[in-house]
Amino acid sequence: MELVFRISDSPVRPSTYQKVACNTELSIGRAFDNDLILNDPTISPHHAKISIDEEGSLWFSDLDSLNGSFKDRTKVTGQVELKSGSELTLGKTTLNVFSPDHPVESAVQIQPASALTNWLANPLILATSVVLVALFYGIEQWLNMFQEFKWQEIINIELIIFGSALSIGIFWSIVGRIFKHEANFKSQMKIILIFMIIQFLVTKLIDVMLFNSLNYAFAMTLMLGMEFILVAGLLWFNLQLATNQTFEQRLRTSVVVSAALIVLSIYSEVINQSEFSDSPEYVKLLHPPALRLTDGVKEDQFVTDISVVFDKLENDNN
Amino acid sequence: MCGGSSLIMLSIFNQSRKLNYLALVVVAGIFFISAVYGQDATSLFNNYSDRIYQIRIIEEATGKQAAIGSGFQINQDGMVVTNYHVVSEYTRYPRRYRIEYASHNGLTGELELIDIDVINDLSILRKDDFIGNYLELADHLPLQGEAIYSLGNPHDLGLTVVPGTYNGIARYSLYKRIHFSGSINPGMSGGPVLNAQGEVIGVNVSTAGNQISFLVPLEKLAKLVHKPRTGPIVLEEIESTISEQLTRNQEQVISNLLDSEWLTSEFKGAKIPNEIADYIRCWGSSDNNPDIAYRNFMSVCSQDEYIFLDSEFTTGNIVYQFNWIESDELNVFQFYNLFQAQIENIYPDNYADKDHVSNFECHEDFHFKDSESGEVITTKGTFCARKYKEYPGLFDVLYLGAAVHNNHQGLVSHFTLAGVSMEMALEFTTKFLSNITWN
Repeated sequence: MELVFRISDSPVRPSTYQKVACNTELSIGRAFDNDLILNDPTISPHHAKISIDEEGSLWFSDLDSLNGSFKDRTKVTGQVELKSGSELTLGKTTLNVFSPDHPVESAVQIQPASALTNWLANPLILATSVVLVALFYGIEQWLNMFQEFKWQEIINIELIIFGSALSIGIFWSIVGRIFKHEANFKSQMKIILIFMIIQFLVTKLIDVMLFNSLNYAFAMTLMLGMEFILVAGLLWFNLQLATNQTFEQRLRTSVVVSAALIVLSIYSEVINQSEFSDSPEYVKLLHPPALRLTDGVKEDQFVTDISVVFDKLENDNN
Repeated sequence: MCGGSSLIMLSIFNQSRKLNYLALVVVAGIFFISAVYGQDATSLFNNYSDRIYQIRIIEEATGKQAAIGSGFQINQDGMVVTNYHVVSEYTRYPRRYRIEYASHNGLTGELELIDIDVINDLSILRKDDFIGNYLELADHLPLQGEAIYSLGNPHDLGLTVVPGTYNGIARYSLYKRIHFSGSINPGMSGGPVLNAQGEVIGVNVSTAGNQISFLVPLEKLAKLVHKPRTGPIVLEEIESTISEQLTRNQEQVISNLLDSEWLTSEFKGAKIPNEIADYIRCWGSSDNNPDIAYRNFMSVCSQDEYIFLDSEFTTGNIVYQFNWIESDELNVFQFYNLFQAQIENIYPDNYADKDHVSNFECHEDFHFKDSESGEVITTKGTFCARKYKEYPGLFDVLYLGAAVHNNHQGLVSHFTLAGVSMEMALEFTTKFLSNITWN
C-alpha cells in the first residue's frame, strides 16, 4: 500500500508532497531508518508510526516522543484511526495523510496575469523605473532647498522612498510565495515603482490644478478620489502577481481595501481636526506663472466675489 | 520690533496671557522722582487718598478676588471711575461676580455698574453709601513737562502715589492716550492721575515699561461722566452696548481711513501704502544675508492700540505688511517654493478664542491689474473672515496676496482688520488693492 503525505513545515514555503510505500507499518521521525524522514528539530528521532490492519484501516500512534503528536489538533494518546485527509501535527510540522485515490482539485487556468508578468519581465523596466523614481523625488527635494543645498536631504528622501518600496515588495513576495508558490519579487517591485511614478505625476498635476482653481474642498475631494483609484490599482496588480484570486475577487479586495484606507484617513483627519482654529484654511500653493492658466478677475470683481465669505458666515450659526 | 503696551490690572487671568510682557519698573527710579517732587506728592496723597479706592472683582462661588484695580470717586452722587478692563469679567458674567471697593481706611462695600466705554477702556460704578468727598475733573490738560501724579494700588501693596511728567498726547495714539513719564504698575489700572491742583487729568490704563505709561485722557473721561443717562446699565444690555460702541467706533475709524488720501511709498518694484494715518507706524527690515540665495524685504505697518474686551479677546487692530522677495540665483521652481513658504501661515493679528469668534471662511482667486508699463500683474488673492459671536455684524478680516507674474521677484501683501463690518471690510479691501501699484 502507498500513502501520500503533504508536509507543511514553514509558513513562507509551499508544502511538499511525498509518497511512501509500506506493508503493515510505517515509521515517522528524524532518524534515517524511518520510512518518512522529517527534517524538523522539534521532531523526535523515532516520533510516531502508522499501522495498517487486515481491513486496510490506518492507525496512528505516538512513540513516546518529546513534543507529542496531535491529530486534528487533539493530543494523541494510544492509537487513533486515520482517514484520508487527516491532519497530524508532529513538532512544528503539519502532515496530511492521503490515500493515493484521494481526489485533487482541478487545475487552475493560467490567468492573463502571465501577460503582465511577461511584460514586466523586461529588465529595462526595472532599471527605468528605479532611475525615474530616484530622479523625481531627488529633484523635488532639490527644488525645495531654496536656503542651502544639502546632499544629506536628498539621500534621506531617496532612502525613505526606496525603503518603503522595498518593504511593500517584500511583503507581496511573501504573500505570493505562500499562495502561488512564486515570489515574483522583481515584478512586484516594478509595479510598486511604476505606481510611485504615477502617483508623483498625479500629485503634481493636482497641485497645478489646485493652484489654478483654488478651491479647498474641491482639492481635497480630487486628491482623495485619485488616491483611491491609485491605491486600488496598485493592490489589483499586487494581488494578481501574488494570488490565484479570480478577476472579481481581486477587484473586490482591492476596491474594499483602498476604500477602507481612504475612509480611515478621512476619519483620522476629522477626529484630529480641532473645533476651533486661529488660522484660516486655504490653498497654500504658488507655482511659476507658466503654470498659471488664468489671469483671474479684475480687482473690483474680486472684491465683489469676497462678499460670499460673509454670506457663508451669516448662514452658519455655530 | 513693534511697540506695545500692557494693561495694568492685576488679575488671575493675566497669568495665562501671552500678550502681557510688562516689565516691572526699576524701583530706584520711583524713589528718585519721589524725592524731587516729594512735597507736592505728600500733600496730594494726604488730601485725596479718601477719594481713591481699590476695585475688586469678587467671584461669588469662592468669595475670593479674581481681579483688582483702582478707582476714584468723581461726583457727589457716589460715581466711581475705573477701567473697563478692570470690570470686564463682571460685564461678561454678571451673575458669577460682584464688584467691591476697599477704601484707604479699610472700609469695603459693593459697587453697581452704571456705564461702560470699551473703546476708551472706562467704566463708571456707583457706591450707595457714598461720602461727599470726590475728585474734580480738570478743565484743561497740563502743559508738556508739568508734574502730574498717578495714584493707585500697585500689586495690592496699598495706595501709592507715583509722581511723573505730562508728555502730551502719545504720538501714535488712535484713542488720544496721554503719554505719562512715570511708572504705573499692575493693580493701578483705573486710578486717577492728578495735576498739582489735585484735579483729574487722566486715568491710568497701560504701560510699555521703563517709565513709559499711558492714560485715558480727560476729554474721554469727561464725556462719559457727563453723558446724560436715566439709570444704571441693564445687565442684559451690556452685550448690545459693547456691540454698539464697537460698531460705531470701527465705522468712524475705517471711514476716516477711506476718506483720506493714502501715503504710498516706493518698495522695490512696487508702490505700497505707507503710514496711511497719523496713528499708524511702519517698520522695515530685510533678509540680506549674502550666504542665502535670495533677498526678502519687509514693511510692516500697524496701529497698536487694541481694544480690550476680555482676557481672551481683543479687537480694533489695523495691520498691513508687505514682503518683496527677489532672487537671481534660484531657479523658477525654487523661487516659487520660497515664495510659497511666505504665504503658508497667516494669522489674524488680534487675540480671540472660540467663545468669541467663529472659524474663518475664505475666498481665493487670481485678480489682476495693469501696470504702468502695460504689463498685466496677476495676484493670487486670499480673503478670509470670521464673525464675532456676541457682536453681530462685526468680523475679523484678512487678506493675503502673492503677485504671480515674474520668475524671480514677487510681492506678498497682507492686511488684517479686527472688528469691522462687512461694508467697511469690502471698501477697505478695494482701497488697499488700488493703492498697490507697479512700476
